[in-house]
Amino acid sequence: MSSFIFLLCKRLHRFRFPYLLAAFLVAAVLTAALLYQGYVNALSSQFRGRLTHPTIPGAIMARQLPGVQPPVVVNAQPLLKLHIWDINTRHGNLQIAGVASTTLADWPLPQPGEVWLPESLKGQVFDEEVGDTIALTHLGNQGRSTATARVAGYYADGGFLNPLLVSQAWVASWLDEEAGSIILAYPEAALNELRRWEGNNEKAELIRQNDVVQNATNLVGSIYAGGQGVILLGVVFLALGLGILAMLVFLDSRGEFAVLKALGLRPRTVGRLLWAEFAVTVAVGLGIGWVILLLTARQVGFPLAIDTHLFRYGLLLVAIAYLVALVAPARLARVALVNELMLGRPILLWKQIIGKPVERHPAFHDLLEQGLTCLKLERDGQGFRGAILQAVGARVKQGEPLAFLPVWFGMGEKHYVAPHDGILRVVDPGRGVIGIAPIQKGGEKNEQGNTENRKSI
Amino acid sequence: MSKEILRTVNLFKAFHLGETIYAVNDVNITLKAGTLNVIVGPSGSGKSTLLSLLGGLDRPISGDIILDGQSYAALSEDELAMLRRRKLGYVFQFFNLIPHLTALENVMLPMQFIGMSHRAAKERATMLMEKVGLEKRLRHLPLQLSGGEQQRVAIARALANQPALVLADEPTGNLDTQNRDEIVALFKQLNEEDGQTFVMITHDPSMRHHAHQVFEMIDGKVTAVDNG
Repeated sequence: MSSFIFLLCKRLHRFRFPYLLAAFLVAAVLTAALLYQGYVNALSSQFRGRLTHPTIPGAIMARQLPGVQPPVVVNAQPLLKLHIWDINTRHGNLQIAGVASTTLADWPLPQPGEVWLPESLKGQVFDEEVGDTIALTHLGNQGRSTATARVAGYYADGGFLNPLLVSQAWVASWLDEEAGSIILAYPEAALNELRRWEGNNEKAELIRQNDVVQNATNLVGSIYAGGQGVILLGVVFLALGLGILAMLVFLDSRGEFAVLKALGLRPRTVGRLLWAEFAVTVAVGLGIGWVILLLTARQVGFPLAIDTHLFRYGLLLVAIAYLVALVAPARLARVALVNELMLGRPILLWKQIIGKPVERHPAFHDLLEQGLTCLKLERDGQGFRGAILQAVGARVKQGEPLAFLPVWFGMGEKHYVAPHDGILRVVDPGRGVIGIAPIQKGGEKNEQGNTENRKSI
Repeated sequence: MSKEILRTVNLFKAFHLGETIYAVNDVNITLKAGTLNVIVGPSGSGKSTLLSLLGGLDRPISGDIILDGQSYAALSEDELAMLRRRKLGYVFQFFNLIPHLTALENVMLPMQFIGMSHRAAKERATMLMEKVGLEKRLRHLPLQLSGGEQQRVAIARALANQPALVLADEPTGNLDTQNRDEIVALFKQLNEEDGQTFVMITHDPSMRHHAHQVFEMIDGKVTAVDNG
């Protein structure tokens, strides 16, 4: 077993509680996000199914509000009409049930005296077998009209539009008036007449099927859009949670990482340890989440439409959260020096080496004219706030540090180094400049020695 | 005459704490192979900082350290880690054993880092544990060991890869008198019998008595070198 795997296993065991917590966090967010997404998928799928099934090709729906007369100006026969009838079944009398007469080609075309029952209500409302009879009682303005129809079969209604179907011709001959019926669909050819009817009747409304589908699509789209927002929040929450846990694990591991580095573990391997630990955790979380998801889907009892595509989507979300969460702690673990980890000193994340002299500068014009090489120090209103490492008169070599400035709360440092060999002539933190004189031919003696002016503890 | 194992060249380390403080100020020392070297000095004199620099645990602001002909300044962090892995061993005042590894696993760890097989690492770790007198504590976790025993494990771990130099930062500073004497005797034995080179910070007079070189530090400078 490699030392990496060995350490990984030991550390996973040591930090089992935070890692278990992280795994459940992943599982919870994944489950919630995918359940929601699956729910929206299922919803939209059913919603679309309701609109398109049974198919009413090219139909226009004319909705009539109570008290509105039927569109008598329309000559075309309606494709689908709904009447409010009483129906006597084996289960008893059903008040206010819909019986539709239809000429739609995709639907069953009942013969006179026949009735087709909606499949979605089979076993719940209707126990009738083919050949049984059902009593239909029409509640018209003229009183009750009753007829008996033979059950010809069940038709696939998609669970939404679930009237009993009877022959239009049979209904027309049997009923002497159309009052109280609802026209559900007319052929496209009747559009102009229907428009006229709509124009003459302020309570009438035409709904084209394509518009309905479009509206439904927009509605589903907006549900999806909301879902994306919820899922995005989930990812942010997950990244934040994982990030906090990763930082806690890192802080708790500072001493251990220090020792591992002191013993010779490479910095990048230390960073990879954290990545690997959380990768295992996330994988466990995904596994738990998937099981919860399947169990929940089974429990809910309707298809959640959770497919591999959706799970890939979930994986992507978790991967993004994982990357965002781990980048800071893993980098800290990698770049920190042993003493920074062991002694709790600020971890230096970056160091900028500045060794390029200024060629022209109005503030240092006098120094430049004297032939000094000038290094410009970053300063605020009170001058240079960093540490000057060398004193005037010190002899310095190219690349030797002259000053450094901690920035970003000690997480970064700017190091000013000598651009060439020379002797320090000017060190002025107030003006923010270090002036170096090049060494003359034959050499120039160090005037004050290299170290005499350095402050010691 | 024994060969030079380590040399520092104009070594500086400064901290910026409102003002610049030189914890190590132009230190130039040389260590010879097979010697026991002691650094002494008052608290805050820069001993631990110097030891950290010698061990590659921290970076100087300027100057260089040459260990066995290898300059630290030229090394990347990865290369420095490789150097620490193969040529340096550490013993810390507070032992710093990995708490969730057994004593044996702690000693095996540096050997696993250099790619030694599990069996070979286990054999050598067992041998080292016997050498420090802990053959009956192989399966114990650090928390199940006394302070003296933990420090012995740390010494065994430091010796795991036969390093050129072992650095010890007040190894007896956290121990009672009996354990301190035993650890001092162990260092002396390892130096005399195995020729192991040591640099240690200590306040223990007996250790100073056994040392080949004593470096005295004050205010970040090595002010005196006593050649035993």
